[in-house]
Amino acid sequence: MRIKFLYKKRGDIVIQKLLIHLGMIGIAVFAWYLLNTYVKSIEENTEYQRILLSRDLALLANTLYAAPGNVEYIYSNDKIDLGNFYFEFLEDNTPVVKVKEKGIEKKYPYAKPAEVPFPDNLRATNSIKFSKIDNIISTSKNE
Amino acid sequence: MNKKAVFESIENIVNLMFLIIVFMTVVLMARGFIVQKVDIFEAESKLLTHRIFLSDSISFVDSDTGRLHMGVVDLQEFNSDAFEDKIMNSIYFGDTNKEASARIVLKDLENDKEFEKFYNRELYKEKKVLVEAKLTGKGSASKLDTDFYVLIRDGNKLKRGVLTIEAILPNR
Repeated sequence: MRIKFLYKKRGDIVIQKLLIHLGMIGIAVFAWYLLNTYVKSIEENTEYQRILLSRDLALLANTLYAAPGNVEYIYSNDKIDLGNFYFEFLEDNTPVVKVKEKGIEKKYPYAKPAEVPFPDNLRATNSIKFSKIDNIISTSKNE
Repeated sequence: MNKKAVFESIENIVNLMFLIIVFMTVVLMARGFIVQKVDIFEAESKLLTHRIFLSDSISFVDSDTGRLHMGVVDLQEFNSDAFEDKIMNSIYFGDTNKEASARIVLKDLENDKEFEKFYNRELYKEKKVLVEAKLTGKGSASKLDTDFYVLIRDGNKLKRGVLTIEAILPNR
């Protein structure tokens, strides 16, 4: 890149080179900043947690319905803070577990016996208590 | 502009492009290391298989005690016309089930006879083609075969048999 006013004298090419190198350093700093922002956004992104929780809870619901007799199960996760999420069990063409956080959701299908009501929606704190009595699952906070 | 200045300008543009390529590569590599996929096919298909196996549509239920005899297949119940509807209702994935399917084969080892039933027949036939074509990825499906050695209750007689459940689930 040639900057005309810096080329009045022959020695001014040094200044131009200096500017170019400064520009390069600026670009490198900007690239580092962008990378840093990107990594931070990944760190704060909870999509993986939402995917994991929706699948885990769908598997759990399937397991509870598959189990014969009455069952009580306390679901907790020491890697994920459950308090950040809202859990919904509803019909969306098929029964689904919906895990919501700040309006962003992830859902996963599970099978329940037909004619059986859905478990209650809830915001958990540390763990969720699942009780299956006569094929009906109810959920509550386990505090 | 002298030749040297033109050359340096081109060199700087190339350097800049190289820097952008390095930056993009680092971002792409970082994205490659981020795990977003959680594959639960095996757990899900095993669960479906065992849910079918343990369902009161297949296992013999003692009418006096209401107790389910796991591993004892009631042949009369298995061959009844209501079997497929009953099992669809006990493992209910909605009115239009696009989530799971299975082929259930009961083999009578003593008389060398086979009885075939389906859990979600339409989806099974639709997805079986994709499994046979060995297609992978979303939109395709995966299969898990499981055999259970069972006793077949035919009237008051108990016979040896094998229950094969071929579960097909769409890839998600």
